[in-house]
Amino acid sequence: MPKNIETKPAQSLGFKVGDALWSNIFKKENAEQRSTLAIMKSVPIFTGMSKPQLREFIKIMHNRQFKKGEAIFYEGEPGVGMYVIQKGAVAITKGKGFVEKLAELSVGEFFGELALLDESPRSATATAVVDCQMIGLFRPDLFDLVERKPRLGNKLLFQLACLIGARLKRTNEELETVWARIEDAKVIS
Amino acid sequence: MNEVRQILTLSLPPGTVRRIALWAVIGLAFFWIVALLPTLQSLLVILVAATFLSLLLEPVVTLFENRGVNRTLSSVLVFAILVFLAIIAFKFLTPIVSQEISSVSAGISDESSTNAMQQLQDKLGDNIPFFSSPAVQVAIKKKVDLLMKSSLTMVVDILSAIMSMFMAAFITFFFLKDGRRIKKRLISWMPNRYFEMSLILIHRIATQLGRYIRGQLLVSLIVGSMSVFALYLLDVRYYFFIGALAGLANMIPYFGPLVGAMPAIIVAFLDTGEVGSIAAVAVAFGSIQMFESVLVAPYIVSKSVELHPLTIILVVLTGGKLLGIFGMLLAVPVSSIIKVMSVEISWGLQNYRVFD
Repeated sequence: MPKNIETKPAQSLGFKVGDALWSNIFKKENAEQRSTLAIMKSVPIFTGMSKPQLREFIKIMHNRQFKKGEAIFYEGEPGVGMYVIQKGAVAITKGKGFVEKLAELSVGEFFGELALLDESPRSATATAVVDCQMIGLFRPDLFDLVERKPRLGNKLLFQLACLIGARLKRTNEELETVWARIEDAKVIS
Repeated sequence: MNEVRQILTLSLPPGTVRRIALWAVIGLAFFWIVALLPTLQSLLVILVAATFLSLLLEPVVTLFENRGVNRTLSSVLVFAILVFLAIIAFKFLTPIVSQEISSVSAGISDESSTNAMQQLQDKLGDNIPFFSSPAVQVAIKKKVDLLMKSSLTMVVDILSAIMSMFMAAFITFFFLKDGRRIKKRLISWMPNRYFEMSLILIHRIATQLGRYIRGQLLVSLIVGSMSVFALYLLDVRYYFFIGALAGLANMIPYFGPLVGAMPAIIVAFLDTGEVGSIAAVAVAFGSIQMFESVLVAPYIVSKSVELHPLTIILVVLTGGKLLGIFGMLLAVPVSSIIKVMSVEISWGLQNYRVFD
């Protein structure tokens, strides 16, 4: 064994071990937070938010793990909030006897956002297709944030309004197309 | 054995066994908590007081946070304001309170109280023959003696109450500062199936209770202040104590106001011996009650937590048996809490697929 290593003070070695330990813990936290931040940035309702603002949301969001086949929520239950998929995939289905699959969502996608506004029943059932990791934002926490930090809370509510507005516009366009087709069909018949 | 199990499984609808087991566990836990109540009395009182205080102060901390101050500093600021107010109240109230304490203790220790009681009995006996019967007089004397003996232990109780107040303040500070984090951590332990339901239930219960407790305390404060002022104007002795007691007693519906008015009427009667002074105090308390029930309570206290009069009588008696005077005072708020919780939990069980 080389001489210089043998004579190294134990204390400095201890510090090195300690530093490595703490830096690893922080590195892990940072990596987790980084991945959460990256996923959140891809969600439209968090568009235009700075990192400190996103961190404020992380503080009030809940991490949840779901096993394959486990229900996240059922159709008809009162809505509480939205989920963003961090890992895994989620199936959105409708109906009890005959189950119709509406969509399969994957990492970075979100669902249940309308429940952030009111308690109306869930319009579909969400089930984990594989083992999933999700972050949830729920109405009581959001309303509490709106009271405590109105500027930040309103920013999210505005984004949510934009999202719903865009959806309404698209639905109207689709409705107009369908309506035009029905009118055409009437004329032909 | 297997056959019995098979018959049970076949005859019961799915999920029933689990439901029965769950209710049995809830029932057992409830009885266990009730059985432990007297043992954990002081701890329980501190925790309940800290919860009430934090629910009371929460909007003030939120108001500071709303102005851009962080949570910790907001909690510190609210506590600093409270300490400041307590110091001011201490400065102003100490002379009045110490004067009242010394006159009350002097009244209890010397012969004057016995004389006063005798005087009261005589006056009552003159007007109502029932009070002049020897059996009633002996019974009253026994009660008065018992009351005087218990006044000595009151000093020890006051000291331990001060200690408990400090503990409650300490816990309240952390409830205010880290309440959200504590709630988030607690709720993270919930299984997925109960998670959303628990989240919304906790929110609904906390909102209703916060409103109820803030409302009750505000009404008590208004009634207490008005009673102190009215008794001061009517020149009734111990006006501060009696008025404050009336404010506290107001938390017990129906007979709380009566309990609050009784000491004032007795003291007024002892001092003057005139029916007119009793009438004046009764009119003052009646007016305050009318003002409270017509103009204050409907706008402040939530109707959703109202209890049936019979329930109130039963819970006040049970509270008295379990925790004494403090139990009587806490009985109605605690029952209201239980009512809100059961209503909300039953709503949750009906609306969420918990048992499937």
